[in-house]
Amino acid sequence: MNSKKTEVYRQKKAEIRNRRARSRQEEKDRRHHGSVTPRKKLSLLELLARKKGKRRESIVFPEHFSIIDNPAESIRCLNAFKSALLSGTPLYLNAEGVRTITIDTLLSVLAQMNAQKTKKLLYSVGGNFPRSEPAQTTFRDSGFLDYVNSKTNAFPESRDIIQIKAGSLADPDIAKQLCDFSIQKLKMSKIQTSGLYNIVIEIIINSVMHAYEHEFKYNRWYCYAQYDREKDEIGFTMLDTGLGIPETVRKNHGERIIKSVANLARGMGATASPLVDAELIVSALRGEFRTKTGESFRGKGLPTVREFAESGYIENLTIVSSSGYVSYDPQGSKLLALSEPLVGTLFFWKMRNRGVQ
Amino acid sequence: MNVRKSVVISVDFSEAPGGRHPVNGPKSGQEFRERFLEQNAQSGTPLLIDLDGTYGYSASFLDEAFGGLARKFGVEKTLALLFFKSDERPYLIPLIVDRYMKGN
Repeated sequence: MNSKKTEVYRQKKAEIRNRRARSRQEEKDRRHHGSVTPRKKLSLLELLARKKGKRRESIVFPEHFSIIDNPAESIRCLNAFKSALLSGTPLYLNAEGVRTITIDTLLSVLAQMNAQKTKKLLYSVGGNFPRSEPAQTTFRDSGFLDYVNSKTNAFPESRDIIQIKAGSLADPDIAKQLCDFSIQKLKMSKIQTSGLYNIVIEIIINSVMHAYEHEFKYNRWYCYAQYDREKDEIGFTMLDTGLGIPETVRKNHGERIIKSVANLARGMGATASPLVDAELIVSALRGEFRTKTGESFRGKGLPTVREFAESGYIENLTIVSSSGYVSYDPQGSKLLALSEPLVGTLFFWKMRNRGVQ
Repeated sequence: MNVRKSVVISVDFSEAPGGRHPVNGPKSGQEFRERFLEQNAQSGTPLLIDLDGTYGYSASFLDEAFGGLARKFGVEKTLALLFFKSDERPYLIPLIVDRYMKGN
Protein backbone atom coordinates (compact mmCIF):
# COMPACT_ATOMS: atom_id res chain seq x y z
CA MET A 1 0.00 0.00 0.00
CA ASN A 2 2.79 2.27 1.07
CA SER A 3 4.95 1.49 -1.95
CA LYS A 4 1.96 2.31 -4.24
CA LYS A 5 1.61 5.76 -2.60
CA THR A 6 5.33 6.40 -2.93
CA GLU A 7 5.18 5.47 -6.61
CA VAL A 8 2.34 7.97 -7.26
CA TYR A 9 4.27 10.65 -5.39
CA ARG A 10 7.40 9.99 -7.47
CA GLN A 11 5.42 10.19 -10.69
CA LYS A 12 3.89 13.53 -9.73
CA LYS A 13 7.27 14.98 -8.80
CA ALA A 14 8.74 13.85 -12.09
CA GLU A 15 5.84 15.49 -13.96
CA ILE A 16 6.45 18.79 -12.22
CA ARG A 17 10.18 18.57 -12.91
CA ASN A 18 9.57 17.90 -16.59
CA ARG A 19 7.06 20.76 -16.89
CA ARG A 20 9.56 23.19 -15.37
CA ALA A 21 12.35 22.00 -17.63
CA ARG A 22 10.10 22.38 -20.71
CA SER A 23 9.15 25.90 -19.62
CA ARG A 24 12.81 26.86 -19.10
CA GLN A 25 13.77 25.49 -22.51
CA GLU A 26 10.91 27.36 -24.21
CA GLU A 27 11.96 30.62 -22.60
CA LYS A 28 15.59 30.04 -23.68
CA ASP A 29 14.43 29.47 -27.25
CA ARG A 30 12.30 32.59 -27.29
CA ARG A 31 15.15 34.71 -25.92
CA HIS A 32 17.47 33.28 -28.50
CA HIS A 33 15.06 34.48 -31.18
CA GLY A 34 14.82 37.90 -29.52
CA SER A 35 11.08 37.77 -28.77
CA VAL A 36 11.31 38.33 -25.03
CA THR A 37 13.24 40.92 -23.06
CA PRO A 38 14.45 39.87 -19.64
CA ARG A 39 12.06 40.80 -16.85
CA LYS A 40 13.01 43.89 -14.86
CA LYS A 41 11.94 44.12 -11.25
CA LEU A 42 9.72 47.21 -10.86
CA SER A 43 9.34 49.30 -7.75
CA LEU A 44 5.88 49.85 -6.31
CA LEU A 45 5.92 53.41 -7.62
CA GLU A 46 6.77 52.23 -11.14
CA LEU A 47 4.15 49.51 -11.01
CA LEU A 48 1.54 52.06 -10.00
CA ALA A 49 2.72 54.44 -12.70
CA ARG A 50 2.55 51.67 -15.31
CA LYS A 51 -0.92 50.69 -14.10
CA LYS A 52 -2.17 54.21 -14.38
CA GLY A 53 -0.25 54.84 -17.56
CA LYS A 54 1.33 57.86 -15.91
CA ARG A 55 4.90 58.80 -15.11
CA ARG A 56 5.97 59.80 -11.66
CA GLU A 57 5.55 63.51 -11.12
CA SER A 58 8.03 65.49 -9.09
CA ILE A 59 6.83 68.26 -6.79
CA VAL A 60 9.69 70.56 -5.87
CA PHE A 61 9.30 72.27 -2.51
CA PRO A 62 10.33 75.94 -2.49
CA GLU A 63 13.50 77.10 -0.75
CA HIS A 64 11.50 78.82 1.97
CA PHE A 65 8.65 76.42 2.56
CA SER A 66 6.34 78.23 4.95
CA ILE A 67 2.68 79.20 4.71
CA ILE A 68 3.19 81.86 7.37
CA ASP A 69 6.34 83.46 5.94
CA ASN A 70 6.11 82.67 2.23
CA PRO A 71 2.40 82.06 1.63
CA ALA A 72 2.05 82.53 -2.13
CA GLU A 73 4.83 80.19 -3.23
CA SER A 74 4.18 77.60 -0.52
CA ILE A 75 0.42 77.40 -1.12
CA ARG A 76 1.00 77.15 -4.87
CA CYS A 77 3.27 74.16 -4.23
CA LEU A 78 0.79 72.57 -1.78
CA ASN A 79 -2.05 73.00 -4.28
CA ALA A 80 0.04 71.40 -7.04
CA PHE A 81 0.63 68.50 -4.65
CA LYS A 82 -3.11 68.26 -3.96
CA SER A 83 -4.02 68.26 -7.67
CA ALA A 84 -1.44 65.61 -8.48
CA LEU A 85 -2.67 63.47 -5.57
CA LEU A 86 -6.26 63.74 -6.80
CA SER A 87 -5.23 62.72 -10.31
CA GLY A 88 -3.70 59.53 -8.94
CA THR A 89 -0.26 60.34 -10.34
CA PRO A 90 2.59 58.77 -8.38
CA LEU A 91 4.49 61.58 -6.74
CA TYR A 92 7.98 62.36 -5.65
CA LEU A 93 8.30 65.18 -3.13
CA ASN A 94 11.63 66.81 -3.75
CA ALA A 95 12.62 68.69 -0.62
CA GLU A 96 16.33 68.72 -1.38
CA GLY A 97 16.55 72.48 -1.94
CA VAL A 98 14.52 73.49 1.12
CA ARG A 99 16.55 75.75 3.40
CA THR A 100 13.89 76.90 5.84
CA ILE A 101 10.66 75.16 6.67
CA THR A 102 7.82 75.73 9.12
CA ILE A 103 5.56 73.00 10.42
CA ASP A 104 2.44 74.45 8.80
CA THR A 105 3.52 73.10 5.40
CA LEU A 106 4.22 69.62 6.76
CA LEU A 107 0.80 69.62 8.45
CA SER A 108 -0.77 70.55 5.13
CA VAL A 109 1.07 67.77 3.27
CA LEU A 110 -0.09 65.26 5.90
CA ALA A 111 -3.63 66.59 5.78
CA GLN A 112 -3.79 66.14 2.00
CA MET A 113 -2.50 62.59 2.18
CA ASN A 114 -4.87 61.68 5.01
CA ALA A 115 -7.78 63.14 3.06
CA GLN A 116 -6.95 60.80 0.18
CA LYS A 117 -6.68 57.87 2.58
CA THR A 118 -10.04 58.66 4.14
CA LYS A 119 -11.64 58.88 0.72
CA LYS A 120 -10.11 55.43 0.06
CA LEU A 121 -8.31 56.75 -3.02
CA LEU A 122 -5.07 55.14 -4.04
CA TYR A 123 -1.97 57.28 -3.92
CA SER A 124 1.74 56.82 -3.96
CA VAL A 125 4.13 59.39 -2.60
CA GLY A 126 7.87 59.18 -2.22
CA GLY A 127 10.37 61.86 -1.42
CA ASN A 128 13.69 62.99 -0.06
CA PHE A 129 14.94 65.15 2.78
CA PRO A 130 16.28 68.70 2.62
CA ARG A 131 20.04 68.98 2.38
CA SER A 132 19.96 71.84 4.85
CA GLU A 133 20.49 70.41 8.30
CA PRO A 134 18.07 72.65 10.24
CA ALA A 135 15.31 71.93 7.70
CA GLN A 136 16.03 68.21 7.87
CA THR A 137 15.92 68.33 11.66
CA THR A 138 12.49 69.95 11.46
CA PHE A 139 11.29 67.04 9.30
CA ARG A 140 12.61 64.46 11.73
CA ASP A 141 11.86 66.30 14.99
CA SER A 142 8.27 67.16 14.15
CA GLY A 143 6.85 63.65 14.20
CA PHE A 144 5.96 63.96 10.49
CA LEU A 145 7.73 60.68 9.70
CA ASP A 146 5.50 58.80 12.14
CA TYR A 147 2.58 59.52 9.82
CA VAL A 148 4.24 58.27 6.65
CA ASN A 149 6.02 55.02 5.82
CA SER A 150 9.61 56.11 6.03
CA LYS A 151 12.80 54.10 6.23
CA THR A 152 14.32 56.98 8.15
CA ASN A 153 13.50 56.99 11.81
CA ALA A 154 11.84 60.01 13.32
CA PHE A 155 13.55 61.54 16.31
CA PRO A 156 11.79 60.70 19.58
CA GLU A 157 9.66 63.45 21.06
CA SER A 158 12.01 65.99 22.55
CA ARG A 159 11.34 67.81 25.79
CA ASP A 160 10.84 71.06 23.90
CA ILE A 161 8.36 69.82 21.35
CA ILE A 162 4.83 68.49 21.27
CA GLN A 163 5.07 66.44 18.08
CA ILE A 164 2.32 66.53 15.48
CA LYS A 165 -1.00 65.38 16.86
CA ALA A 166 -4.09 64.79 14.77
CA GLY A 167 -7.70 63.94 15.44
CA SER A 168 -11.25 64.18 14.21
CA LEU A 169 -13.00 64.91 17.51
CA ALA A 170 -13.01 67.90 19.85
CA ASP A 171 -10.64 66.17 22.24
CA PRO A 172 -10.14 68.04 25.54
CA ASP A 173 -7.06 65.93 26.25
CA ILE A 174 -5.00 67.61 23.52
CA ALA A 175 -5.90 71.05 24.91
CA LYS A 176 -4.94 69.80 28.38
CA GLN A 177 -1.62 68.50 27.05
CA LEU A 178 -0.78 71.86 25.43
CA CYS A 179 -1.64 73.66 28.69
CA ASP A 180 0.54 71.31 30.75
CA PHE A 181 3.39 71.91 28.27
CA SER A 182 3.00 75.69 28.68
CA ILE A 183 2.75 75.42 32.48
CA GLN A 184 5.97 73.42 32.53
CA LYS A 185 7.98 75.44 29.99
CA LEU A 186 6.80 78.99 30.66
CA LYS A 187 6.21 78.55 34.41
CA MET A 188 2.60 79.60 34.06
CA SER A 189 -0.28 78.69 36.34
CA LYS A 190 -3.29 76.63 35.33
CA ILE A 191 -5.42 79.77 35.57
CA GLN A 192 -3.07 81.68 33.24
CA THR A 193 -3.31 78.99 30.58
CA SER A 194 -7.11 78.82 30.61
CA GLY A 195 -7.26 81.19 27.61
CA LEU A 196 -5.03 78.80 25.69
CA TYR A 197 -7.27 75.90 26.66
CA ASN A 198 -10.34 77.74 25.43
CA ILE A 199 -8.96 78.66 22.02
CA VAL A 200 -7.51 75.22 21.33
CA ILE A 201 -10.93 73.66 22.03
CA GLU A 202 -12.67 76.31 19.88
CA ILE A 203 -10.34 75.80 16.93
CA ILE A 204 -10.79 72.05 17.12
CA ILE A 205 -14.59 72.38 17.44
CA ASN A 206 -14.71 74.65 14.39
CA SER A 207 -12.87 72.07 12.33
CA VAL A 208 -15.02 69.20 13.62
CA MET A 209 -18.31 71.01 13.10
CA HIS A 210 -17.51 72.18 9.61
CA ALA A 211 -16.59 68.63 8.68
CA TYR A 212 -20.28 67.82 8.56
CA GLU A 213 -20.77 70.43 5.89
CA HIS A 214 -17.96 68.94 3.84
CA GLU A 215 -18.57 66.76 0.83
CA PHE A 216 -16.32 63.97 2.03
CA LYS A 217 -16.52 64.53 5.79
CA TYR A 218 -12.82 63.85 6.06
CA ASN A 219 -11.94 66.80 8.20
CA ARG A 220 -9.24 66.39 10.77
CA TRP A 221 -7.30 68.82 12.89
CA TYR A 222 -3.52 68.84 13.27
CA CYS A 223 -1.46 70.60 15.90
CA TYR A 224 2.12 71.11 16.93
CA ALA A 225 3.91 73.15 19.59
CA GLN A 226 7.55 74.05 20.01
CA TYR A 227 9.33 75.78 22.86
CA ASP A 228 12.06 78.26 21.94
CA ARG A 229 14.57 78.31 24.81
CA GLU A 230 16.34 81.48 23.66
CA LYS A 231 13.17 83.54 23.42
CA ASP A 232 11.37 81.69 26.22
CA GLU A 233 8.23 81.37 24.14
CA ILE A 234 6.12 78.63 22.59
CA GLY A 235 4.96 78.62 18.97
CA PHE A 236 1.65 76.89 18.34
CA THR A 237 0.49 75.72 14.91
CA MET A 238 -2.99 74.31 14.26
CA LEU A 239 -4.48 73.33 10.93
CA ASP A 240 -7.79 71.91 9.84
CA THR A 241 -8.83 70.79 6.40
CA GLY A 242 -12.42 72.01 6.48
CA LEU A 243 -14.03 74.44 4.11
CA GLY A 244 -12.28 77.43 5.64
CA ILE A 245 -13.66 80.43 7.54
CA PRO A 246 -14.59 82.57 4.49
CA GLU A 247 -16.61 79.67 3.06
CA THR A 248 -18.46 78.81 6.25
CA VAL A 249 -19.42 82.24 7.55
CA ARG A 250 -22.64 83.78 6.41
CA LYS A 251 -21.97 86.40 3.76
CA ASN A 252 -24.08 89.38 2.92
CA HIS A 253 -25.32 89.94 -0.61
CA GLY A 254 -22.47 92.24 -1.67
CA GLU A 255 -19.80 89.92 -0.30
CA ARG A 256 -21.36 86.95 -2.07
CA ILE A 257 -21.18 88.80 -5.38
CA ILE A 258 -17.56 89.94 -4.81
CA LYS A 259 -16.54 86.43 -3.80
CA SER A 260 -18.24 84.83 -6.81
CA VAL A 261 -16.56 87.29 -9.17
CA ALA A 262 -13.20 86.68 -7.48
CA ASN A 263 -13.62 82.88 -7.81
CA LEU A 264 -14.62 83.27 -11.45
CA ALA A 265 -11.64 85.53 -12.16
CA ARG A 266 -9.33 83.07 -10.47
CA GLY A 267 -10.79 80.26 -12.57
CA MET A 268 -9.93 82.32 -15.65
CA GLY A 269 -6.34 82.72 -14.55
CA ALA A 270 -6.40 85.96 -12.56
CA THR A 271 -3.73 85.92 -9.89
CA ALA A 272 -4.95 88.72 -7.65
CA SER A 273 -8.21 88.65 -5.73
CA PRO A 274 -9.89 91.24 -3.54
CA LEU A 275 -9.37 91.22 0.19
CA VAL A 276 -12.82 89.80 0.81
CA ASP A 277 -11.61 86.53 2.40
CA ALA A 278 -9.26 88.29 4.80
CA GLU A 279 -12.01 90.77 5.69
CA LEU A 280 -14.44 87.92 6.35
CA ILE A 281 -11.92 86.35 8.73
CA VAL A 282 -11.53 89.65 10.62
CA SER A 283 -15.29 90.06 10.73
CA ALA A 284 -15.70 86.55 12.16
CA LEU A 285 -13.01 87.35 14.77
CA ARG A 286 -14.93 90.46 15.76
CA GLY A 287 -18.01 88.32 16.36
CA GLU A 288 -20.19 90.09 13.85
CA PHE A 289 -23.25 87.97 13.23
CA ARG A 290 -21.60 85.54 10.87
CA THR A 291 -22.63 82.04 11.83
CA LYS A 292 -23.94 80.05 8.91
CA THR A 293 -26.47 78.22 11.10
CA GLY A 294 -28.26 81.56 11.54
CA GLU A 295 -28.55 80.90 15.28
CA SER A 296 -27.55 84.01 17.20
CA PHE A 297 -25.99 82.01 20.04
CA ARG A 298 -23.48 80.38 17.68
CA GLY A 299 -20.32 81.89 16.25
CA LYS A 300 -18.68 82.75 19.58
CA GLY A 301 -15.60 80.59 19.01
CA LEU A 302 -13.55 82.93 16.84
CA PRO A 303 -14.25 85.99 19.06
CA THR A 304 -12.74 83.91 21.90
CA VAL A 305 -9.59 83.58 19.80
CA ARG A 306 -9.51 87.36 19.26
CA GLU A 307 -10.11 88.05 22.97
CA PHE A 308 -7.19 85.83 23.86
CA ALA A 309 -5.02 87.62 21.30
CA GLU A 310 -5.93 90.91 22.99
CA SER A 311 -5.30 89.56 26.49
CA GLY A 312 -1.56 90.17 26.17
CA TYR A 313 -0.54 86.53 26.43
CA ILE A 314 -0.09 85.80 22.78
CA GLU A 315 1.42 87.58 19.83
CA ASN A 316 1.88 87.00 16.11
CA LEU A 317 -1.61 85.53 15.77
CA THR A 318 -1.82 84.63 12.10
CA ILE A 319 -4.82 83.06 10.41
CA VAL A 320 -4.74 81.79 6.85
CA SER A 321 -7.96 80.47 5.40
CA SER A 322 -8.99 80.07 1.79
CA SER A 323 -7.53 83.16 0.04
CA GLY A 324 -7.39 85.26 3.19
CA TYR A 325 -4.25 85.97 5.23
CA VAL A 326 -4.63 87.87 8.49
CA SER A 327 -1.80 88.82 10.80
CA TYR A 328 -3.92 90.00 13.70
CA ASP A 329 -3.03 93.12 15.62
CA PRO A 330 -5.59 94.98 17.76
CA GLN A 331 -4.01 98.25 16.57
CA GLY A 332 -4.38 97.32 12.91
CA SER A 333 -4.14 93.91 11.33
CA LYS A 334 -2.18 93.11 8.21
CA LEU A 335 -4.48 91.64 5.57
CA LEU A 336 -3.42 89.89 2.38
CA ALA A 337 -5.32 88.42 -0.53
CA LEU A 338 -3.62 85.23 -1.67
CA SER A 339 -3.55 84.34 -5.34
CA GLU A 340 -4.28 80.69 -4.54
CA PRO A 341 -6.49 79.45 -1.71
CA LEU A 342 -5.27 77.27 1.13
CA VAL A 343 -7.32 74.16 1.78
CA GLY A 344 -8.69 74.63 5.30
CA THR A 345 -7.62 77.01 8.01
CA LEU A 346 -4.26 77.58 9.61
CA PHE A 347 -3.75 79.23 13.01
CA PHE A 348 -0.35 80.22 14.30
CA TRP A 349 0.54 82.14 17.44
CA LYS A 350 3.33 82.56 19.98
CA MET A 351 2.84 82.62 23.72
CA ARG A 352 5.01 84.00 26.52
CA ASN A 353 4.57 84.28 30.26
CA ARG A 354 4.01 88.00 30.68
CA GLY A 355 2.71 87.65 34.20
CA VAL A 356 -0.80 88.61 33.11
CA GLN A 357 -3.54 87.17 35.32
CA MET B 1 -32.04 81.33 49.09
CA ASN B 2 -30.52 78.32 50.79
CA VAL B 3 -28.78 76.25 48.13
CA ARG B 4 -28.28 72.69 49.34
CA LYS B 5 -27.16 71.03 46.16
CA SER B 6 -23.91 71.78 44.41
CA VAL B 7 -21.84 70.56 41.48
CA VAL B 8 -18.06 70.96 41.38
CA ILE B 9 -17.41 70.70 37.64
CA SER B 10 -13.72 69.71 37.96
CA VAL B 11 -14.57 66.87 40.36
CA ASP B 12 -18.07 65.72 39.38
CA PHE B 13 -17.71 66.12 35.61
CA SER B 14 -14.19 66.78 34.26
CA GLU B 15 -11.22 69.04 34.82
CA ALA B 16 -11.02 69.30 31.02
CA PRO B 17 -14.50 70.16 29.71
CA GLY B 18 -14.93 69.78 25.95
CA GLY B 19 -17.04 71.35 23.24
CA ARG B 20 -20.72 71.78 22.40
CA HIS B 21 -22.25 68.42 21.47
CA PRO B 22 -21.31 64.80 22.30
CA VAL B 23 -21.03 64.04 18.59
CA ASN B 24 -18.12 66.53 18.40
CA GLY B 25 -16.21 64.91 21.27
CA PRO B 26 -16.29 63.88 24.94
CA LYS B 27 -17.28 65.97 27.98
CA SER B 28 -19.46 68.36 26.02
CA GLY B 29 -21.67 71.17 27.26
CA GLN B 30 -24.78 69.27 26.19
CA GLU B 31 -23.67 66.23 28.22
CA PHE B 32 -23.09 68.40 31.28
CA ARG B 33 -26.49 70.12 30.92
CA GLU B 34 -28.35 66.83 30.54
CA ARG B 35 -26.53 65.10 33.41
CA PHE B 36 -26.46 67.88 35.98
CA LEU B 37 -28.72 70.78 35.13
CA GLU B 38 -31.93 69.70 33.46
CA GLN B 39 -33.30 67.51 36.25
CA ASN B 40 -32.85 70.36 38.72
CA ALA B 41 -34.46 72.84 36.40
CA GLN B 42 -37.45 70.52 35.98
CA SER B 43 -37.87 69.99 39.72
CA GLY B 44 -37.14 73.64 40.52
CA THR B 45 -34.22 72.80 42.83
CA PRO B 46 -31.61 75.55 43.25
CA LEU B 47 -28.09 74.49 42.31
CA LEU B 48 -24.66 75.90 43.11
CA ILE B 49 -22.11 75.45 40.31
CA ASP B 50 -18.46 75.57 41.34
CA LEU B 51 -16.40 76.58 38.30
CA ASP B 52 -12.92 76.28 39.87
CA GLY B 53 -10.29 73.62 39.26
CA THR B 54 -10.69 73.10 35.51
CA TYR B 55 -8.21 73.86 32.73
CA GLY B 56 -10.72 76.27 31.24
CA TYR B 57 -14.05 76.47 29.45
CA SER B 58 -14.63 76.84 25.75
CA ALA B 59 -17.28 79.32 24.65
CA SER B 60 -19.15 76.41 23.04
CA PHE B 61 -19.24 74.46 26.30
CA LEU B 62 -20.53 77.41 28.34
CA ASP B 63 -23.09 78.34 25.73
CA GLU B 64 -24.47 74.84 25.29
CA ALA B 65 -24.55 74.05 29.02
CA PHE B 66 -25.91 77.28 30.51
CA GLY B 67 -27.23 79.11 27.45
CA GLY B 68 -28.85 75.88 26.32
CA LEU B 69 -30.60 75.54 29.68
CA ALA B 70 -31.85 79.13 29.48
CA ARG B 71 -33.17 78.57 25.97
CA LYS B 72 -34.97 75.42 27.09
CA PHE B 73 -36.42 76.53 30.43
CA GLY B 74 -36.47 80.29 30.06
CA VAL B 75 -33.94 82.90 31.17
CA GLU B 76 -35.82 84.05 34.28
CA LYS B 77 -36.40 80.57 35.68
CA THR B 78 -32.85 79.45 35.00
CA LEU B 79 -31.31 82.56 36.56
CA ALA B 80 -33.42 82.00 39.68
CA LEU B 81 -32.19 78.42 40.06
CA LEU B 82 -28.50 78.58 39.17
CA PHE B 83 -25.83 80.06 41.43
CA PHE B 84 -22.18 80.26 40.50
CA LYS B 85 -18.94 80.25 42.45
CA SER B 86 -15.46 80.96 41.10
CA ASP B 87 -12.52 82.15 43.18
CA GLU B 88 -9.98 81.45 40.44
CA ARG B 89 -11.76 83.17 37.55
CA PRO B 90 -14.51 85.42 38.94
CA TYR B 91 -14.93 87.12 35.53
CA LEU B 92 -16.55 83.92 34.31
CA ILE B 93 -19.76 84.52 36.29
CA PRO B 94 -20.95 87.72 34.58
CA LEU B 95 -19.78 86.25 31.27
CA ILE B 96 -21.97 83.16 31.71
CA VAL B 97 -24.97 85.16 32.90
CA ASP B 98 -24.82 88.02 30.41
CA ARG B 99 -23.32 86.54 27.27
CA TYR B 100 -24.56 82.99 27.34
CA MET B 101 -27.73 82.92 29.45
CA LYS B 102 -29.16 86.34 28.60
CA GLY B 103 -27.64 86.25 25.12
CA ASN B 104 -26.30 89.83 25.30
